[in-house]
Amino acid sequence: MLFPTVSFAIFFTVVLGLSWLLRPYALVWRVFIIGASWFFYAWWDERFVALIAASTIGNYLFGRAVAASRHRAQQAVATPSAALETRPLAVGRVRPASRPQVDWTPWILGLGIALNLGLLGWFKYYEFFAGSLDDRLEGLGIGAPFPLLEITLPVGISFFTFQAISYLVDLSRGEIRPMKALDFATYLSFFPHLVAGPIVRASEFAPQLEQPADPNRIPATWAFSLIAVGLFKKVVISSYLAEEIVDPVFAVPGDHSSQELIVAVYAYAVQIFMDFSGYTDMAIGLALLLGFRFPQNFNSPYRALSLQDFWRRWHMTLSRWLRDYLYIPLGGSRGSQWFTARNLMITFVLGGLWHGAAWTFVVWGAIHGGWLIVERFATGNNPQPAPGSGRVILRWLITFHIVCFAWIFFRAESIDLAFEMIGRIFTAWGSAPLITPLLLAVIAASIAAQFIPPDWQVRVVARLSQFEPLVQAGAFAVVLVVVEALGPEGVAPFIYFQF
Amino acid sequence: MRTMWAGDVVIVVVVSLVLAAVLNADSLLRRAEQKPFGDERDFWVGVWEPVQTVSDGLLLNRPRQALDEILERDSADSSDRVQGMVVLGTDGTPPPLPGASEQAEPTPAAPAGLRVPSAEDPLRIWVGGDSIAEHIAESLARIADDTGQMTTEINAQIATGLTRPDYFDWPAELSAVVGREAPPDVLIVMFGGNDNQGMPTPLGDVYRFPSPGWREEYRQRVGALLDSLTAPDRLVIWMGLPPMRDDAFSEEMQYIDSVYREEVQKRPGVVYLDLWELFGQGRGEYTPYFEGLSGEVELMREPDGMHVSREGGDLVAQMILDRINAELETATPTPATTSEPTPVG
Repeated sequence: MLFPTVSFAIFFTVVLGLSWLLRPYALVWRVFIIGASWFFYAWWDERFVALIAASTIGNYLFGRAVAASRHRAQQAVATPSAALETRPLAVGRVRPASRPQVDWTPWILGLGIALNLGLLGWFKYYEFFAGSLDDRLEGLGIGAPFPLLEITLPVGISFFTFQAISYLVDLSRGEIRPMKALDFATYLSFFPHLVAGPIVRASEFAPQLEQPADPNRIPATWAFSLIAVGLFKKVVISSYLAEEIVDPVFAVPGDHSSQELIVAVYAYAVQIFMDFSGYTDMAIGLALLLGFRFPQNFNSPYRALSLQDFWRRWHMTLSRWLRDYLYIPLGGSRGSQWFTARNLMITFVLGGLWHGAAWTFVVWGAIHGGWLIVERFATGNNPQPAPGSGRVILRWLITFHIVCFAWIFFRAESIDLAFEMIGRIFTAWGSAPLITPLLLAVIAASIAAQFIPPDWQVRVVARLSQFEPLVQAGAFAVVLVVVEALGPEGVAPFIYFQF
Repeated sequence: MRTMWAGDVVIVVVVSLVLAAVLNADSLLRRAEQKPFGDERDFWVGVWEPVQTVSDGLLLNRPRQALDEILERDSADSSDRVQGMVVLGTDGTPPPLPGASEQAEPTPAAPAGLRVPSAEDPLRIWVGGDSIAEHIAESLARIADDTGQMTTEINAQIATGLTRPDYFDWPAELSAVVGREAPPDVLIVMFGGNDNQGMPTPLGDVYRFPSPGWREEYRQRVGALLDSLTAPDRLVIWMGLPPMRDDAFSEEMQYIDSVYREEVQKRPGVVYLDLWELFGQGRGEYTPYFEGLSGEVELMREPDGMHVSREGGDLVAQMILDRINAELETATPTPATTSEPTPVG
């Protein structure tokens, strides 16, 4: 069920009303919201419900085991003398009352993470590896032992798997307490974030379950604004750019001139931002109406003055996930520059592979990792130029174009096509019928909008919130009609659903 | 910032959606009517029809109509709606379309005689149809245009076919394409993936899929379309349908594909590309993996079990290019003059 559809509008309206009616009844509300979320998920494929149910049960049990093991280990540390107590053996010798306490937490955690990654890997990477291995083994005359299974990737699996891993790791670190079964099921399957994030942490979600939002203080105008802006970004801007230039140019780059290729790259940079941040805006807005606050996922990423800055603004919940559960455990920047460089490259190449088993994603990750290393070597830990510096524009231009250059690989269907596109950017000057003044205006305005100070938006929404609810309802209705009128006949799935 | 009570939030959501539905009633009703004939369509038409009546009566649909006019989009004017249809499960033969009796006759078209292309005046290829055609069309454009002797135009429209011209009118679209001053030398089409549904006729009936009446009506449409596309100096390639993962859907596609085979067979100037054979790997069954152009076993279908993957598209595109090249070997050395479209009917 896509957000910008009539089906979802009806579903959400029913869920919203019932959710607030049932909220005072903790158990009933949890069962209801889990059921609603599973219904939302089953809209794609009924089998997905079994998947998220299995992930929920498995991770809940692992969470209990991790927490219990950590508790035992801590007790042993707290009372070290216990390990040294002795008692007489029946035969008269003495031996320790118990063996020194072994901390099984890392092993249980490791197994839990491995199972999560195994599930993700099965759906995401099995075909790639099975195909590659079969080819190699066939070359050696061994045959092709790995059957090709035409596996369908369930939408959202990456997102709820990452949430589950963060839950287990945070438990092992003692940063959170284990959740109750129904709380954990709600956390993992809550439909606003289920299929494409933001990646919410248990430490952010659990307190909101335990202490429900005040039903008298819903920031509804803010939520409606987010939903309206998200719809406009996705249905109008993203669809327009995809249809007008991005899809035709990336499909057959050989048919297009340098000018069209260049504009298509900028257009894709805008399209993917509008598509993904539009989804996130809607997800955050919907959650707010249900009384939940999600973390911010985008913060004007194309105004970044360095790649480090970009990753603090782009898909922020994935960035912090990679930082906290991959980069820092690898050692982070706690070593030499080369050690940091290694960790950056590993983190970003794996971050690239997270998007799918394709060399294009590896190259995309490597470009980001590589340029972050260059920034580290060039500017140390503080790559931001001084405010007001004349180099600010140059830094912005360089950062933006590195990001756009990497998007070519991200969007291209193959490495060959990406290189063909890059080559033609410099060699195929000619007519450019796809480039229109409106197209250029949309791209330029979308990039310029990144520089609007965030507090302007807050001020505008604060002003809107002064209007009576029915006036706000009328305004929201008008936005819905305008978005529908400006958008295409059908809405394409969100880009990030495939990851 | 002012906040709201949860009850007010629910009221705002309900009011805004109801108001949006009333303001947008024409569009909602039109989209409902464009759904395949059946219970779901009946349900949504039943929901939106009274809303549209109220909206129209109170002139609340006018702002949206004005917006459509400003945007130069097709207005959701109720005059061109498909409504009041009688669904026929009839076995009877439908009344012929105006001029259809002549169209249904096999066209004595001569085999295509393509002109010799050059870099200055490349062979114009037009390829399109429903979404299954999309990857094939893109793959063809990649390899054909690389020759420097051909240029490819793509027009793949999602969720379209020959049953529902009220949603997208392919005969009209193609009539405009072949009626151009410089029409395509090679025309490649693919339909059928969305045609397993009831079909409204210009006389106001709906033939239920797959009744004999439906088949006859569909046959007439395919025949008429083919006749409108063929020309002595044009190669027309009709891509058949591949087997599908879902057995029932696959059977429906086979039924539709049999109409194409019959109609193409009557027209010697048209080439039928047998994708059932290719994607069924000779067994006539859905076969997702087989050897592609790279010489390795590749996934030839999309995860939905219906569409053709990029690798599958590459394979079909190569077959098409081979066929075009074979035709070019016997092509007349002097470039053909601009051809006139074959008159319809």
